[in-house]
Amino acid sequence: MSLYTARVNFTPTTVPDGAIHIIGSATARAALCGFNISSDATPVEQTGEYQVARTSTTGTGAATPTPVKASNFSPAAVCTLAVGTFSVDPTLGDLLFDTSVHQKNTFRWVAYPGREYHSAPAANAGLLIHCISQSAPHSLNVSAEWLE
Amino acid sequence: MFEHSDPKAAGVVITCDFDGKTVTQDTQQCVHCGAHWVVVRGSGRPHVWCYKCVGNTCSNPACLRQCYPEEKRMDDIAKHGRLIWPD
Repeated sequence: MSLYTARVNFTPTTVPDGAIHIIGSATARAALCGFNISSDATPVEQTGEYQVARTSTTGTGAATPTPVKASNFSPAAVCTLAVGTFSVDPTLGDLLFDTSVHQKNTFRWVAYPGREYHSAPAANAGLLIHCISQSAPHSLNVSAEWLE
Repeated sequence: MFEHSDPKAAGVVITCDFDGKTVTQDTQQCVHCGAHWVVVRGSGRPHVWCYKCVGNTCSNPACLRQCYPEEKRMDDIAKHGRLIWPD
């Protein structure tokens, strides 16, 4: 398995709004092993709620960047990405993680080996890190690492 | 309460408190849906030990009530395109 990363800087407009959607396939399952949520906005007292969920449709994100390989020797990623504000939200399945993060804080979650979040082995199935609510809109820096 | 000593931990949350000090908290993983939750002893949230899957479940009522392992879910989605909940 090879490690891939993705990051996005965006401000959620209409919540819930996606941040990073890792889209697998019937033959390539994404195994999310870590994610990071922080903000580069001017520090004030505000907070947001964020979730990780399985998805069964791709939705439409603001951009579709190419996943970044952690090693030059890794093959190109099979999973694809959709990041930023989603005009069409993906269809949500199992809710895998839920947390609130203060804007001044930095939140990082890491899975121990073998305990990652796996996407379903189906076309267009994936894993979504998204913002459920914010006390006031503020920009987010979200990054994710996954194995495939 | 901050926990970082759970031998059954499946992950870790790294954040900081209001003084800027790094805080780590263990997470456990549900053997049925695969979700992680932050371990907070005495939280009152129900978790059930599944003897078939040999592991804890999350507090989701569906996971508490029925044994529907994560890999079985994945197989059902691959074969049928949806979850097939046991009767």
